[in-house]
Amino acid sequence: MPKTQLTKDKLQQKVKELLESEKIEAFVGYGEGDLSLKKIPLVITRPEDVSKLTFDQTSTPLLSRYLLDGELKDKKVGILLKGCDKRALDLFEKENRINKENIYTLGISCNGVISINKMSEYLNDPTEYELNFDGEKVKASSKTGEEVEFDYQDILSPHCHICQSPTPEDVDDLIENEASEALVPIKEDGIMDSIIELEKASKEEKYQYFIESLNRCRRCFACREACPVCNCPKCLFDIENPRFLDKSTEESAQHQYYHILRAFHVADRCVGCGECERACPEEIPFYLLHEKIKKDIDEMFGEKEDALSYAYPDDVEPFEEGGEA
Amino acid sequence: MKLTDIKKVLEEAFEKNEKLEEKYNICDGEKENIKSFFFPQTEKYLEFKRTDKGTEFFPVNNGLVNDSDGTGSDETDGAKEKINVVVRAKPCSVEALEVFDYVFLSEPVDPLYKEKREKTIIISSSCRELKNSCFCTSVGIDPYKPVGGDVRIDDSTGGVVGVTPKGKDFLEEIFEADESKKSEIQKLEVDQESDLEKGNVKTSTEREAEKDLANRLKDKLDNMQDSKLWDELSLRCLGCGVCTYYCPSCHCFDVCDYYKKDTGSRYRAWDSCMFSEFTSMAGGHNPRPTKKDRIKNRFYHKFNYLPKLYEKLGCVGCGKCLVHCPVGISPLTLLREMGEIEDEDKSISTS
Repeated sequence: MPKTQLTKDKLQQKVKELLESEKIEAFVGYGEGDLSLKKIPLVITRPEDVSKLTFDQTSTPLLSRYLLDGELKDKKVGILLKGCDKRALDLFEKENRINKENIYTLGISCNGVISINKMSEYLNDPTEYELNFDGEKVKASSKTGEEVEFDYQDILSPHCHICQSPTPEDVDDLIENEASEALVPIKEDGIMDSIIELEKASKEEKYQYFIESLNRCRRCFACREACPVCNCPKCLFDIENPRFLDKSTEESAQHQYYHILRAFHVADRCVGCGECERACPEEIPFYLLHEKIKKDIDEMFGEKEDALSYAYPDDVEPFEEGGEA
Repeated sequence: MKLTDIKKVLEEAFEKNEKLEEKYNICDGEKENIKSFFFPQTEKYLEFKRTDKGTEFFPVNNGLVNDSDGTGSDETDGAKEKINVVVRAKPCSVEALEVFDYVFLSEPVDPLYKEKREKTIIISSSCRELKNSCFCTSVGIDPYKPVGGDVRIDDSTGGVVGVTPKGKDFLEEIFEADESKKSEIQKLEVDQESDLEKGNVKTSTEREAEKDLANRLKDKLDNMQDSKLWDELSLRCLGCGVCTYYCPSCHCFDVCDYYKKDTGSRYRAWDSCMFSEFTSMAGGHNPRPTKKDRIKNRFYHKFNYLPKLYEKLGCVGCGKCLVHCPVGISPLTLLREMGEIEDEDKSISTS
């Protein structure tokens, strides 16, 4: 993938300069994981480690969330940001969760990321394949020599089809992604096709559709933890006494409670990165709930800039004295 | 006919014979997480009711209330009465069950697990397709050697043999119902085109040296308390429970009560050591407050505590955690760090 290589070279060069000039102490980017379809979040601190950095259409995880706590919080950090990741960072800045002074934002023009869950519509076991991106086509080849070709947009994350700013805005520096000719036409109205389809269905059909899919939920909370803007220091569903969420997974009411409530909690903050959809091991389309709420907010109250309300780190915990649960 | 067709052979036999159909239920050990057959995610075992005389308790023996239709009704479709036949139980899945047996069948025996375990018929076979995400050979498992099971598909002859009395009876029952299945089952072929011939995998002899693997890893970990690895992993880890829920050997559960006005039930449900409140105690103390404590514990449990207790690893190298983890964490990183897998490229620099 020569084009990807070009992007990679530029990225590594840039980060090397940043680390050598001591502008930053650490850089958060993507590295190779143990599966070719998943790049992993990687933090490097030494200039000689920049060769481990990479970026392509499988760089799915969101990095901004790593700046919120732990050892990166008070360091001078550089971070690689796709459009959605930058939107999350902007929200953190508004909520005083991060110190912008300490952060060097290195944007990268994004042409969407793939969703392994989408791939499983075409392939029995997507992780068995290596992907070769060639313009608008993707070739998947397994080690047994099997080759399947599909359109890039067929395996793109559903959220990338409606992303209104894949190239991050107001960043300290921007890396032009060389492989951007595969950029898929983006829906201007920002509404997923599946939402429009679902809206046509009858009440009973919708209910059945969601119940059937939500009942697959194992309550592993991958969707919650992978979400960059699910930021409560103490999640309502982790409260023990009283326990707001039953541990039983056979009560569909509990699944509805979890997913619908989470949708209401984060839909207005949602930056449309789609990581929740990609993180779900059961391929549950709960993100449609978020998207529908977003669409309703826009229609009823006009376009909103970002969150409807902000949550600040020094807010009183709603479950503690003085809070308003 | 290929080995993988055992499922088809059984399905045909059941289709022809209503009695078998009513008695057995075929489960796919490759598609389903094998532990859920013996250890469902939610298992009810006690119901209580407030009456005029005080509180009455009613043990529930079979645990599951089927709510697949989402109506919340307690109507079962009869599936729970059937005997599960698990086909395509690969060496990694069966090895993982050993960990379960150790935990649930050691004194005090867990009756819920025991009942399910005794009822289920496991048809174990070798694994012919090592996936990109598999690393069973790194944790001392031979994917070509079927282990355990009640019925085993014999790789040397390609035939299907009953191993335990339960398995033998099951085969007899099939043959009785449908004579033609006997020759079909004896003729299942071993797929010769395997990774073994391609030289991708250690042979059994090479693996003899792996026998002390559990002990070796245990000792190595004893000196890795302060490794940088835990910092790197805990920084990356999101703290969800996906690795534990999809792991075939993870077996932690939580006991919960659910009650409405005058009735209630006690059930157990899967729990995950990766959740922040997993070790939280009454009174609010939490001995594992940070993500680092938790991820370290998870790996120590699998590669140090279990080997110490039981001389067996708590990891079978199936790669489920690797596939499902949103940020690609798996024991591979640990094995690399311990020098068990050579891969310069991906090891963490501990400068």
